[in-house]
Parts: sequence; structure tokens; C-alpha cells
Amino acid sequence: MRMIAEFEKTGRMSWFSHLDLQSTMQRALRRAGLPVRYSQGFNPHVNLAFATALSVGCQSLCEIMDVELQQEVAPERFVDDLNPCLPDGLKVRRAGLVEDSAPALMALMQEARYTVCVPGVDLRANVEAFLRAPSVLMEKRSKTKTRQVDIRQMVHALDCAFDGEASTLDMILEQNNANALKPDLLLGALAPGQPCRAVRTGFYAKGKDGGRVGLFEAGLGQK
Amino acid sequence: MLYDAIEPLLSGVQKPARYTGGEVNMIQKDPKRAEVRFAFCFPDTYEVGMSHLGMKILYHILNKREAFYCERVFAPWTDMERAMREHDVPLYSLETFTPVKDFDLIGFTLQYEMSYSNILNMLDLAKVPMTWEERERAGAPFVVCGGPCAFNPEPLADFVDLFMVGDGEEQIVELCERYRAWKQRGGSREEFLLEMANLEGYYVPRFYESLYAENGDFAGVRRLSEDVPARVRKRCIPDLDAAEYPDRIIVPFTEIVHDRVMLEVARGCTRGCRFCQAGMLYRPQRERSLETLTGLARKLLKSTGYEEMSLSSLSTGDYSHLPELARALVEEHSCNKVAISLPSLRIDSVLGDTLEQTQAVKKTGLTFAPEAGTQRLRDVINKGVTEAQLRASVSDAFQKGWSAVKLYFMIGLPTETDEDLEGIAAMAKAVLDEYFAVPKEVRQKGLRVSVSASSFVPKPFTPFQWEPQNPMEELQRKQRLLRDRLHLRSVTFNWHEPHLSFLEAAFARGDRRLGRVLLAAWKRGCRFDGWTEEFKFEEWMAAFADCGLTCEQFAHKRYDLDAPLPWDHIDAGVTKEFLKREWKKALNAETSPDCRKKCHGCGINQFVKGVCTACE
Repeated sequence: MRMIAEFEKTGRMSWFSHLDLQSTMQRALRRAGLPVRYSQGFNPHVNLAFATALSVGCQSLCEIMDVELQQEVAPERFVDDLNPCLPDGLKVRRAGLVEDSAPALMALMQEARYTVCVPGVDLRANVEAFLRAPSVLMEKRSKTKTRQVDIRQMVHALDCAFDGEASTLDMILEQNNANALKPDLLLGALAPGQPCRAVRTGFYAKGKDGGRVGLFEAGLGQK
Repeated sequence: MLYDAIEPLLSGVQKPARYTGGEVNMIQKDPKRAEVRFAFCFPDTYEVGMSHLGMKILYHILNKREAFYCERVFAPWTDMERAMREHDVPLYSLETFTPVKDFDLIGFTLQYEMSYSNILNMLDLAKVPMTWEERERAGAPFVVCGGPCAFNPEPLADFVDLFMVGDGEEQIVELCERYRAWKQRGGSREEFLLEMANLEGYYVPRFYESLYAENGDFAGVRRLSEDVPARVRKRCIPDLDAAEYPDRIIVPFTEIVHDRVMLEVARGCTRGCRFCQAGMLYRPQRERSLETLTGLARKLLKSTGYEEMSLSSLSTGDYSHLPELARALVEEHSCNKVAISLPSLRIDSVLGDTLEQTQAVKKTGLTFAPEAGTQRLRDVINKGVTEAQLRASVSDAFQKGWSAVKLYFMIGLPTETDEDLEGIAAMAKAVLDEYFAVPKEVRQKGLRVSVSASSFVPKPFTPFQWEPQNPMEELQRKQRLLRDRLHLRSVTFNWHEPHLSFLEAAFARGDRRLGRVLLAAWKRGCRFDGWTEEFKFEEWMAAFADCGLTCEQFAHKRYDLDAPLPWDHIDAGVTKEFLKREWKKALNAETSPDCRKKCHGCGINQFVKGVCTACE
């Protein structure tokens, strides 16, 4: 069996890396005494996968992990046992069991949703202009090279509210095996030079009717 | 709250998780209810400091007491330091983001001399005056220091209110208790320090002065009043098994140098290597019992979730109950996939073949430290390893499937000649021979022999404390010679630039005048000297010149056997007579067998009986 769990990574916990999350979660599972399954080999580790990495500094309300279990555990017990073993800022919200044969969540993921708060500026006009444009080219830098990408097509929804003090952006961005747009690149197009303090608020898969469904629900629905 | 000022800096620095705290098992208390707040400062990065066992022990001991709150502070890396200075963020604690200047006591642990510039830098970042005189005027917190380098406190005498010499477990509690009482009753700082100076193991430099001869030679430390002891005797925990030890330790998010449970099986060492300061300072050797250790291991693994555990001490292979302990730990914890790191030399004898087959024992690499290349020089330094032993061990290891061996040596040891250096090359070749003597079908492919040579640094309280360090040119010549001789297939030779060892030698045996040099070097931008990329040798030399001193006059000094030494007013337990005897034996290449076999009268049994004397 595998347990799929949705968890938050907020506050101070946003500052450690994806690699650090692996060991932190592994040790928490061990402290909780949950019947996790280990890999074979010289350095056995908990068989544990995450839907996708989260940028350092970015918070999330909807991270998803996928843990292999030696024996079945009730999802409620999994949540109740694990949460006291996690540091403040990491918190499991819900969990569900799937068969070993169920597809990996990474394969189902299509979109990620973020909220970004930008203080001191009204970005509503910039957002309208962005949405009207047929294409928006931005430079995407990786470790080895820089290339031009059209980010417009990867923005599936974008909304901006302004309360007189800050703009709050709500964005749904492409996030699948082939393409992924991170919120900082979009913010670079809307408000160059602004620091990007994003919160990931959702992951989506494609539903049977072609519409948007939550990734967690989609993962469990594939039993 | 200070965190709001820190957070915006984090996206611009490397490894931000070093600066945010909040780890599992971090102690959370209401700071307002703490009667004494202690800032435990480690003068290096988070990854280095969090690997340090002493900090884990003392953090646990203080925080177990409701009235005290001990919080951690590390040196920010240069990028974070820049950001903090730019945005006027003071040095703060990870537990509650409290500025260091708001604590009652600021404690630094002195693990190596080359972290001293970080102490000044951290005080500056904390906006705490650096010298005790300035702090007195400003009413700033006391700065206290402990750790092995506190045995020669003089280079830091201008900056520190109080040194704690010896085992810290009891002392740190006593200090906080006395501080609390002093704070409650009110009184002068001097009154408090005078009270402390009269307890065992505390050195208050303001009550002592340094004397110098006209030619600039150090001429002794003298107490300024009869109210303080002439010599400060180290503190020693007689019964290690009864000493407090943490049953939960902080589990960092981000990888640290030693990222595992460390179980301290013993303190001290009976081997008596003559270059080894720790072997002298931590006498007598004391052990924890099997029951205590298995109980601690169980609790620590449960509370941390760690997947690895190491047995820690100066010489774990000598722990009396090692086979039983190793077997008990493997049997109990292998089902939870916990790997136990054991000293590589003893794996076979300790565990036997059946357990070796399991994955529960982590082979941490085959390392040997003969330290010197010929039997003569190994006898001089009293390192009881023979070439035959080395050959037998590596041959056995190669037959069992090892193919990588690390050999550690020192160059510049007293009485060393080029013949001893040739001996290092010969030992590396002996290892190659043993490998090729194992049949091809049996041995593992990919032989790698790594030879490391560090430069000898004479240290206080060792039989070599009177010896000069080799000049840098001589060390460099020796390195070149070794590099030529070790230009062999499958052998890599590692060495360090001797500049850092040169500076280390000055501070290890230096006197109070080095405080001025340290301050001048800090002003010239020196910090993180132990990190090659940050070490500014030219600035250090300029700092010596600023003060009218040279690094040579300290590092290359041969002290007369009867001359006063800058650390004579500290009593580490081993007597000067013993060290002199050992020095004379060294010059004659005469060995002193392991203290468990024969007592050499080092003087430590005036304090307490350890394994050495218990055997008698």
C-alpha cells in the first residue's frame, strides 16, 4: 500500500530545501513509528516521493507526498501519529491510501496554483495587459543556460485584487512533466524587481470531463 | 519581532535554513520566565557548530533546569553577515530571535585557535563591546569561554570576563546558579567575578597580569591580589557514567558535518601520544557503562529518528566493552535500519563475520594514522603503531573487499629528518604491495591510497610544548619532497598550505600580547580563518607588524625547560615534571606504554581515578 498525504510547509519551514525535506520527513516518519517500507541496498531509506519540488522561500498549503507502507494504516491514524512528530510549520492536512499500482502523482499533475502578495503597488493594469498579450517572452535561467520562453501560454488563470495597500495575485500555472512555470518568472513580467513571496495553494489534474480536479482527489480516485 | 527583519534577508543568502531555527527538539521556553538567559555561541558556521557534541550536552543540561534558558548562536557566513550589517540586524539567537546583547551570559566554546577572529566578529555583530573593560563601562553581558583552548586563555584575556577550564557539565550549571544569586542580591561585576575565581576551574584574567622581560620574552603571569588562587585547577567530572547526557538532541533540517546520533562512550585516552593535546587535557580516561549507553541510544534514536549512530571518544577502539556494546546496538536497532559506525580497525574482531554480513554496520572507510614514517619517529611521538600492524590490517581489509585506504601523517615533528619522510613514502608503498599480494580474483578493483600530511603544531600541556614549529620554508620543502616520492599510481597526496598552521602555532602557545594582534587582524577583515577561501594570511602578518610583534617569535620559539610558560597558571592535572620526563624520553625515542598497562605518574590521579589507575 501507499499513503498519499497533503501537508503544509509554512513560516520558517519555507527556508529549507527539497533535499532537506526528504530527510526531515523521513526522520519524522521514523519518530512516529509508522510502518514505512525501506529501499533495498547498502544505505536503506524510506521509500518516499514528493509531487514536485518547492522553491526555497516559497510557502505551501498543499504539498503532496507519497509513502510506501509495509502494512495498511488508517489514514486518520497516519495523520494523528505523524503531526506531533513534525516541527511547527509542517503539518499534514489529510491522507488517503492507494494501491501500489496506482499511478504516481507526478504523472497526473497539470497545474499549480499560487497566491503572491505584492505590497505597495497596484498591479491590476499590468495583469490586464499581460492577459491581452498573445505572447510574453521572458528569459528563463537554469544553472547552465539562459533561454527565451513564452510564459503567456503557461498562465492558465490570473487574477489580481488591490486593497489600497497591496496587490494580491491568484495564479494557476502550467506544472507538468514537460513544462513548469514558477511564480517568480511571472512576477518578473508583471512587476520587475519585486521580491516574490509566493504561497502554493493547490495542485490540479485533469478530470474525466477534461475539467480541473484537485491532484489529491485525483490521486485517490484512481484506485 | 526581530524575525520580521531577518526574513527579507533570507532569499539573498546561501542555505537560509542555517538562520531560522525551529528544528525538531529545539527547546522552546517563555524567555520572560527564564531567570538566567545564556547565549551559547559557536564561533563557526551552523553546520560545524551543530556537529559539536559538547554544545549538545551543555544545551541539554542548562535547559533541563526551568530557571535557565540556553539558546544557540552561530557565526553567519559572509553573505549573511553583509546582509545583516546592511540592514542593521544584530546577531541573534535561533530559539527566540533575541539579540545576543540582551542575554545575561554570552558563552563561546573554544574548539580551535583559528576561530578566535570569529569571536570578535560575532561580538561586533551583536553590538556587544569586545573587551571586558568596555563591557564593564557599558554594563553589557558577561562573556565567558570554555573548551580545550581555554587551557591557554592568554591570547583572549583582553576580551573575556571568565574562562571555564575543564569538563563543563557541572560548571555551566554552577555558573548560572551563582549568576542568578548575584543578580538577585545586586552587586558589582568585580564582586561576582571574584566569587567565581575562587571556585575550582574558573580563570578571571582581570585578576592576573602578564610580565615580560626586556628582550620581549614572556616572563610569567602574576596574580594581582592574594584573593584569587595562584593557579587555576581544571574541573573534572569524576564519574562520567553519572554525568548528565542528552536523551534528545536537535535534528537539523539542513545537512551538518556529523549528521547522526553521537554516543560518547568515554572521555580521555590512555595512549599518551606526545603530540596530542586532547590526550593530555581530558585525562583521566573515564567510561560510560554498557547499560547507560544502550539506554541512551534507545532514547536518542526514538527522539530523533536518526538513521545513523556513531560511538564517540578520543579512541573508541579502546572502550572496554566495545564488542558487547556494538553487538547490543546492532541487535536492537538493525530492524529499524539504523547504521552503527564503528572504528574501522576493529570491525572484524568486534563483531565477527555473521554481523558483518548485515547492513547494520556502516564501514566509514579504512583509515590509519601512523603519524610518522619510521619506527624511530613513531617511538619519539609514542604512537604505538608498527609497520607490521599496518601491513596486517590492510592486507586483511583488502582480502575482505576494501580497496580504499587513508593514511594520516604529520610533518615537522621534533627530531624529524628526511629519512622519516622517505619512511612515509615507504609505508604508502607497503600498502600497495599488500594490495597486489592479494590474488586478483579476491581483491576489489580500483585501489585508492590517500596519504595526508598535516603540519605539526606544538600545543600547551604536551611533552612537545617547549618545541618550536618548523619554519614554513622547511615545511614546504618537506611537502615537495613527499610530493615527489608519492608520485605513484593509485596514490594521492594531500597537504595543507602551512600558513594556517604557522598562525595556529602562534596562538596555541601565545601570550596576552596576541590579543592586540587578534583585534588588529579583525579590523583588517580577518574572520573564518579556518576556511581556505576566507583566510587572509597577508593581513594577519600585517596585524602582527601593527603591534610590533612577529608570528615567528611565538610559533618558532623554543621555550627553555625551566622558563615560565604562558599557561603555567592553569593546572590541567598533568604535572610539568611528567611532561619533562616524557619530553626527555621522546628525544631518546623511548616509548611509554598505554597507561592501562603501566602508570607513568602523570599526576592526574591527584584529582580522580580513571581507568588507568583503577587497573592498578
